[in-house]
Amino acid sequence: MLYNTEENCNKNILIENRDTSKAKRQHDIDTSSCCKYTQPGNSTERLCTFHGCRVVIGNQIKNVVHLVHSPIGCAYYSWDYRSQSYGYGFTTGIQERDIIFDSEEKLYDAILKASEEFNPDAIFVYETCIPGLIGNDLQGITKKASEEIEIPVIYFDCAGFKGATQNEGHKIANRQLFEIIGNGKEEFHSTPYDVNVIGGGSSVKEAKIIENMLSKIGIRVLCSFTDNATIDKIRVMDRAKINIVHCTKSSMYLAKMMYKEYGIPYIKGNFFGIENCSMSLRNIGKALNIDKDKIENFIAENLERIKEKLELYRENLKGKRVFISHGAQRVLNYIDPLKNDLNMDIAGVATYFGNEKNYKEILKKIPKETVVLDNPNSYELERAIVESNADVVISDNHIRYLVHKLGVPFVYGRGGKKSYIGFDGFINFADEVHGAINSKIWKLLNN
Amino acid sequence: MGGVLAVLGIYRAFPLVHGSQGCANYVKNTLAKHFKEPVEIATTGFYEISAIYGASDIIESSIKNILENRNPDLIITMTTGLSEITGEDIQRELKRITENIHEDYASNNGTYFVGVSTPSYKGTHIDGYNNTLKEIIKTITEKNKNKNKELGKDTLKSDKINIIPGFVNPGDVKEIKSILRKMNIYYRLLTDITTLDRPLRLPKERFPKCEATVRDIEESPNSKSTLSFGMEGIDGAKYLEDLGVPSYNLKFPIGIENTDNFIRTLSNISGQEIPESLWEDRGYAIDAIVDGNDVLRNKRVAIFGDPDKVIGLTNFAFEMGMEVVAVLSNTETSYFISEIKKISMENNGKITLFEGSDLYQLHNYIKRRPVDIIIGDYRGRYIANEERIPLLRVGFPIVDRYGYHRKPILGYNGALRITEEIINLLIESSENYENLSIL
Repeated sequence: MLYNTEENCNKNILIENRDTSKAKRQHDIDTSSCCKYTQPGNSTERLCTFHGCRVVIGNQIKNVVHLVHSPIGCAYYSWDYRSQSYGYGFTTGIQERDIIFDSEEKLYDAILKASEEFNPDAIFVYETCIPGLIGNDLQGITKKASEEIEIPVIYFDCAGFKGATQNEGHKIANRQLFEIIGNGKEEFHSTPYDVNVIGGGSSVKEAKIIENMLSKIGIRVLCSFTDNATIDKIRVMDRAKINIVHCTKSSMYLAKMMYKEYGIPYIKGNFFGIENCSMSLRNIGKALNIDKDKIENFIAENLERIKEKLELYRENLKGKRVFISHGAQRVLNYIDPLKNDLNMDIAGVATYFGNEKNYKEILKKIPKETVVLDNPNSYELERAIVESNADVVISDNHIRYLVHKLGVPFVYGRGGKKSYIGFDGFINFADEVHGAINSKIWKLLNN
Repeated sequence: MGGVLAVLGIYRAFPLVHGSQGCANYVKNTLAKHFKEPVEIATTGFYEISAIYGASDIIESSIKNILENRNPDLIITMTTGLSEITGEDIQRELKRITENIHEDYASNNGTYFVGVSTPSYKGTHIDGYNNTLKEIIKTITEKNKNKNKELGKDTLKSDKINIIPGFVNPGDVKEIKSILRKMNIYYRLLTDITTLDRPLRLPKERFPKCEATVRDIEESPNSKSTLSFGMEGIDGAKYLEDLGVPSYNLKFPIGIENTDNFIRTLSNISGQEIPESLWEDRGYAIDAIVDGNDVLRNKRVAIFGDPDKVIGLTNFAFEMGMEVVAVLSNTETSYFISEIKKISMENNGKITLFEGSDLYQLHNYIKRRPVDIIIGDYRGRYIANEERIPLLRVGFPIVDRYGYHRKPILGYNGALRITEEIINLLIESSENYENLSIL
């Protein structure tokens, strides 16, 4: 049931986690080859640097014109990539003649026009492959435009070909947005319980749930970066006492930069799962010197409310096999709750752009026979899901239909209509997993 | 996008997008969300290093990788803005690579390699479909001609008709097939996108099935004639015409008149009578339009989408007694303008025409001059929600509803479906439950 290493040596099944005499033992598995460039010809689930910058981080910031300096394709597909994003999509719509005769003027006009028509707080200009390759002076244009319209015009040098994965785009977005921090209004009143949540959930809704939960124990979130962020909120991020880093993959850089520049310490926080959520609240409380009883009471209150339901799900999901395919951070966040809170077994893991450190952490958490795929192509993913006998697959929407065609239940890991964050959110999640596995339709498939 | 759709409509064909990972994945994501089916698109993984040192080695290893993993009958390499701008000549590269590969994989002589230039800064998905299909037909028929010469074999002319369905949904292709079968016409579909609407039966198919095969394309020059719709696929039809296959370019069979014309043309080419069952279908569609006349007439419509479908839908809306007030095409063509002007004149209507513009402009127009219904893809929902106007979802992409890829807009059945949906949407939007009184 496991892969032959020789056969797959350069097909991106880089990690093999098995316990036969021939294969490598778990402790000396070579994880250094992961997070490298995609094997040419693969139908990968990975995305480009531009995506990491524009969709994952930039796009969530409200009241900003997100202007993509690209042909129509890059702007259009990224605009509705995550269905939660709402608002107009802006592009300079590069045509063949613009490549020949320079598109700098076009971009400048677009910035001025967008600012006049929509009156935004700022304009973000995203570079794509074509201007990246031509070498347009976007820095100069955005600077000039910013002086003209008197709002920040921020330029992201995130051409798609630049990094091996979208992770490079996260770095670029973090670096550029860091520049805005610290220009807040003077009359801002800070409290000893101000924090930032960096790299929160994946939607405004999740950010608000975290903000709400923290407010119940007396903590004020200055900015949920970037799920519920505006330019003004980002500006005052430097007034926080600590940073809570939720997704270390997309936002650790920012936390580190803020520590260096403003001396704001950061702690990791993970609000997915019962144990994780309780632990994170305790850690945050400790860091901010909040009364211990207050936090324990809050946790106990929540546990009491969901106890009955949780027991039921634990009972029914015991021993069910789950396959997780997500970004490395989400995989890491999900393994423990699935194992400990819901009693499930991990059938397999796939990530698109985990690094060596991520994989080492993942390997520690899962049993030895488990398949781990790094940047799988559709074919490898298909095989792994079938051969691992998964009862349910948790992943992003783009492999939903592949999983369904294999006759395996699927749960969208980011949460669609319902949120999976927090205590009640985890019950939503368990409900989805339970519902997916127990739908009657799967029994009718084989006839 | 258009190119990929043409490739996916051929059995055992595999698309390879020569560009950054995002280029392949964005297209894959949109297709999967619309069709609710798994889609495989390979990427060559174009990184900074390829931009500097050239990318021929990654194309070569991509093709080898696909051959080893999937072994398709046809691999189509499509360029992107990124790879195109480095000034590389995909045809020349591919020729060199193909020679290398045929030496390496002697047993693999069957696979065709096609290269198409489809940069995103040039045209839209409609052009992509058109160009890609033409290149596929060109490459395959040229190779095949040489092969046949070597074998000393003269291929036989057949009675089959080539059909190029265009950038349409599986439901539309099924409707075309059903019309052809009812008329007892033998056909070769040159793309059949029903690959993206497959039943769930285990185990999963390696390649989704459809009726358009590489063999069909090989033999397409032997057909009696070629039918294509609008500008979608016209270049492929013209290429086949140069090989001696007469081609007919029709309007999309949307609505009664255009479907009549399509069926009449089929009857003329094949010599087959129009069967009773099609007259029945026509009768059903007309019955529905007549029954809903009091709901439909004088209603103001805005239509947006691909130029050829907008032309067809505009014509059909007038047939239903509606008044088209604004149309928007996503692809710039002079022929679209003249067609719409013609329809406008014929119907004494005053159609406001947006060409190569965006939905924001259409929205501003609708704010000033309200309409009763919008016809277009799912992106119209932002206007529809804000202005509280119903939206009839047609075309591509529709990612926020299920099953629309199965619903035809072509043929009498497509006309019937559109009529029923428009009537119901209009009734729903005029109903006000708050003011209903039970007594």
